Amino acid sequence: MNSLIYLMLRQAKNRLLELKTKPAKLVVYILAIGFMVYLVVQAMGIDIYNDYAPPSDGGMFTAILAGFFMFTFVATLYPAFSKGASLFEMEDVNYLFVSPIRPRTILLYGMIKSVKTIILGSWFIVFQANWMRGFGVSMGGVFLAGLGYILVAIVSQILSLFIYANTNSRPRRKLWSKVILTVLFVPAVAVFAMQFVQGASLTGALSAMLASPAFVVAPVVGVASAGIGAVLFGELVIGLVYIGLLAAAGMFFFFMIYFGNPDYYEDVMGATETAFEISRAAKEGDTSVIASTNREVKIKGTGVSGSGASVFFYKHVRESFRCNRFGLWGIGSLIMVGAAIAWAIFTRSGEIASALEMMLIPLLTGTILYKMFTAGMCRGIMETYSHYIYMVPDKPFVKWFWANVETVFKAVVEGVVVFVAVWLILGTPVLATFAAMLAFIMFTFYLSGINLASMRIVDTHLATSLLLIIYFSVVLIPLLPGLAAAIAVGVLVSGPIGIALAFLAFSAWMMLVGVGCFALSKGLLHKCDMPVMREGM
Amino acid sequence: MINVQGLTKKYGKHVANNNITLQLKAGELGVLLGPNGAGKSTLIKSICGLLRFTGSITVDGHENRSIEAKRVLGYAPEVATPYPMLTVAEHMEFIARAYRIGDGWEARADELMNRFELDDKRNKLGKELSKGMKQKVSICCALLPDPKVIILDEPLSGLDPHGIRQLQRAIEDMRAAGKSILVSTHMIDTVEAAWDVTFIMKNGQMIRECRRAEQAESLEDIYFALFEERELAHE
Repeated sequence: MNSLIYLMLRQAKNRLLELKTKPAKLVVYILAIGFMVYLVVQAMGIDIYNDYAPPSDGGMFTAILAGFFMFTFVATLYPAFSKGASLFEMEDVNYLFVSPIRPRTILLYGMIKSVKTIILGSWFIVFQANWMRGFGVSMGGVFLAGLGYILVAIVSQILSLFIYANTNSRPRRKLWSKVILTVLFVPAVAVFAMQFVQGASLTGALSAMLASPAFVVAPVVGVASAGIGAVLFGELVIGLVYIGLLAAAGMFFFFMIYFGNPDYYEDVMGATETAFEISRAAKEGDTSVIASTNREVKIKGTGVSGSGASVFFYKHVRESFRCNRFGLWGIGSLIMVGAAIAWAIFTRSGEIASALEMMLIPLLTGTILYKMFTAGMCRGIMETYSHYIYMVPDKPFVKWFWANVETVFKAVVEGVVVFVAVWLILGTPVLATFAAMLAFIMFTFYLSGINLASMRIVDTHLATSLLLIIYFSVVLIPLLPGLAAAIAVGVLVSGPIGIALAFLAFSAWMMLVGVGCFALSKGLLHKCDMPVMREGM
Repeated sequence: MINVQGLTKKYGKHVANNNITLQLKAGELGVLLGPNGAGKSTLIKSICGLLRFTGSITVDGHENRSIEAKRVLGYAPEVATPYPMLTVAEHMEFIARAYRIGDGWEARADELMNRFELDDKRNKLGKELSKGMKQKVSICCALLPDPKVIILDEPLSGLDPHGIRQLQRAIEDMRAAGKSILVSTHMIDTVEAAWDVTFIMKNGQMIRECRRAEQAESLEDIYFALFEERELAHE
């Protein structure tokens, strides 16, 4: 154990020392810590009674939280049924697994590392404080949601490892595990369906399901949601019992692995090697390993159209249709459209406090934020990690344009579908809806310009580097004047026309900055260093 | 065909290439040698216009980042990275269209795929290829536009014996056709028969340039003699 403590402490110390030579990393840490301190100070200033007051729209908030826990649970558990979960890095396999350290001690070390990663990763929850406050959730509630995420992620991780270790190469056991996990969700789904059939609204049916004891049996997610929900509503004892039960279940599965299967090396090695291979290949610019999936790709149509730089667009079309059955309109687009439609339906079934045109503001904010998170790794950007885009004999701007046409085209389709659907469901004013749609599309154009310009500034794509936090600042800060202009217009001109004009002003600003970025980056593709993948991609 | 004058490439304080000068004429096979970390790949990437540098590089008389230079330059990188969702044949079509090769590219693509035994892999996706196959696709893509200048960075890594022989023959054919070929390799014996000029690098510097016509020794002897000399001098 001494060697493992030494390993952890020495690595932590070296990470700190590394900051002396990596100022960008230091800036990120300072910003992150500063933000944390700000939130804690802000939380300390809140009245304790109010801080723990139940959210004003608690049902909706608990439903969102349960959905988030569900996503974490499924995403963490999925590897258990495919390549396997791993708590280790390749260096652990190479050095620790062959060492005379007891496997159980190494497992404990892996678990501590995993918990550390989950806790460090959970800080993104505090970023959600603003929209959570929209549901009347206090700072204490935000921290509670973070605690819930940590618990769900850790227990899911242990369960994933347990399932993989016990079902690996045993298809019957694997099938039974899937069946049991699915069956445990059936009572909750049945309650929801019954309520809905009996005439309850979507929100009503969802609230009834969450409040029902049937939901508690849903693995990990049910107990976690019930526990966190109970504490949020002031039922501290009940909440603690649920949270204690979940923690006990996690401990139980951990000890099952710890005492039951000390020979877990083979179980975790496959997943570790796969993860290492993906990371190594990505750093060398080989995206084929990242794209490797177990899914069989049926090659129906073949060939690539276009001539010169336009060939990149046609290549993207071909690749998109091979990657997923929806073509250019991948799973990311479907998630966005689905979420927007669900939001519109929930909003309609509830009581709308503000004017309809005002509802377009959170919708536009949400879709823009989603785009910002997902467009960073679009095909146009990935193209710059391969040499072809530099070598093809065509003008740099033309090549960048064609490499990004797919992204903009996708945004146009997404924008039309999302905003038309919301217009149909909520009946938002036509002009304001059209202007919001234009703002969404223009944001994608603006983002493309910023991505290109970022190559000039830091020799790499900020979106794919450790400098993600700086990337968000780089994207958001130039938007501020446009935002200020939009607010001014919105204040000066009231009603739907005012909101429409505000969106148009915002769109015009984004177009202006986007064009400016392209003009500044003229010829850049032939003048820059080909970027390489960094850590944290 | 390739003219590098006073090239310096720095990564922060680290000098990857220090004042490199290199010339490769038409019909010459240049071999770039040096230990790991000597700066060979950086030099190659700079010539191909993938990196910024100080100094000047021309390819067939054109500034290396110009469209004219790109039109006559073929490059196969050290790590072959095919597009995961394009088939082998589509890689050929992609290059043909991107370089606007025009009519007749299909025959040349067929010839290349046949030469490198990719015929039966035409409809295989990039992600389904082995390391050697990826390398072959990368080489075929570099050769398809029939460029005047070809740069191959460790082209033999992962190739099977047949692939190595075919690449050697392709290099000899291109040399005979008056093209300039610059190859970076650690497998000296594979270029022993055909080399014209060798550039030996160490620690980011060009420590020796030899023309075959002026040398009686083999390429391997030149390389090892140089490093033994330097080791003795160091001692």
